[in-house]
Amino acid sequence: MAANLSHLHLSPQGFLFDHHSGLSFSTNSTGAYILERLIHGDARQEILNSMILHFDVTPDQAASDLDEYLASLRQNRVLPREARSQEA
Amino acid sequence: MRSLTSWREGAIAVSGLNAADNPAPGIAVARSLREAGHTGRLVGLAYDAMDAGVYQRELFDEIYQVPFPSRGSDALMGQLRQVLSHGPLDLVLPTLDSEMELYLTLQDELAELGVRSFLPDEQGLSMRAKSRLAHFCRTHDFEVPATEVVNSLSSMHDVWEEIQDPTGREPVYVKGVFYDARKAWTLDQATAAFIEISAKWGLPIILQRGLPGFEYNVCCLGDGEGGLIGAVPMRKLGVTDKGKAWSGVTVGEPRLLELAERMIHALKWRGPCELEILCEEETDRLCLIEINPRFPAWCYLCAGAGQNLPAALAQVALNGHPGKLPPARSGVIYSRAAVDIICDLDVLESINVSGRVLHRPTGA
Repeated sequence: MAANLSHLHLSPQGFLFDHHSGLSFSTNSTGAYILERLIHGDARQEILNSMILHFDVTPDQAASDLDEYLASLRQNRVLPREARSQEA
Repeated sequence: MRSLTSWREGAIAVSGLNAADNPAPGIAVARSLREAGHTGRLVGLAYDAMDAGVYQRELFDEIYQVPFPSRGSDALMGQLRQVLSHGPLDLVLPTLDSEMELYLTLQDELAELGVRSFLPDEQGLSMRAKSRLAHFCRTHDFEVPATEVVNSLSSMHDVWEEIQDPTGREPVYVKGVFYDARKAWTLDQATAAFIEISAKWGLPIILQRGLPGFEYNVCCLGDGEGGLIGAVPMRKLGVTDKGKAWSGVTVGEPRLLELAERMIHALKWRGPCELEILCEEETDRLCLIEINPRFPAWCYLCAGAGQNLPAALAQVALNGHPGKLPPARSGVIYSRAAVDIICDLDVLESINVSGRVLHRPTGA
């Protein structure tokens, strides 16, 4: 089960505000796409499948990029650390 | 006590009008009251003729210069009687740490003159004192960083090994009993800080191990019976070189409100306070660092976030409990700005010559 991320607000321009921590981030359109799916409650595999369909990218490259992005979200505390095994 | 149909008609005195780079809360409190529709007499109590609030004619009807807290309660009471000779006061709202004990001493005498206050009791005030807070936290199951209270250099040397960060990355905070804090990574630095701070503020000195993480601040209002009237959590976004917040954003971390509720309940706190809380980087645990027994200087943010706590205080003190306040909105930003206020010379003359400035005639 994915973590509850309802405290994250993502604007259409890719500006993310974490209502719990008070931190804010800017992200590019691919990052915003992934965040939107995470906030929606999608698990890693669902996001990966969706990326392969929507972007001109190989499955291996998509998986690598997605994992790198998820790691950076965890490092910046956007994703909770306890959800590491669930999301990735 | 005068009977008021609304707290908004009440005559309210607010202290702490300094607004330099480490501003006092008085101007923010006054703005909050006015924003909530307060139309009664608003009196500013200034310590210095150059306190910025003295010149804020759009906020205050009158300004009085009052003696510094070090002059004691008799001197303060004498000046408050002068204020009362010009018109009734319904509520006095002190905003500085150093004033709290004075106003506690005077609260009954003031009440006899019709002036209400909404202050913590002596026990609550004492339990949150810097020198006692760690003990209070441990006995009431609140997380607190490793803390030692020392009364001499030799006792500081004795506990240094124990209190310092074993990795050497984080400093030990050497804190004065009322104000001031210095970072120390070595015993030599701590010794210098001990000597300097104790000479200024006296003993004891508090040693607190720094933890990696970030700070939240929560502005709270307690009803004195264990209930939390309201609380607004904030994270600093920008700080001055003294580490004071210059900008911030309200947050909705539910654990902060739970902690505030538990703390207000444990202290049976009456009135405003500010909780300083550290969220530890590795463990995510919330550690209480300090409790300031007054509104923070950023309290106007509470009004901006939909939970006007200064107005709620005036209401509960003058008209009874305001009931459950709407939750504060998270994601509301504030940023301070330095503004030049222009005044004629008569304001400076008046405060210096008579200790009083009348911006608007009483009742106007």
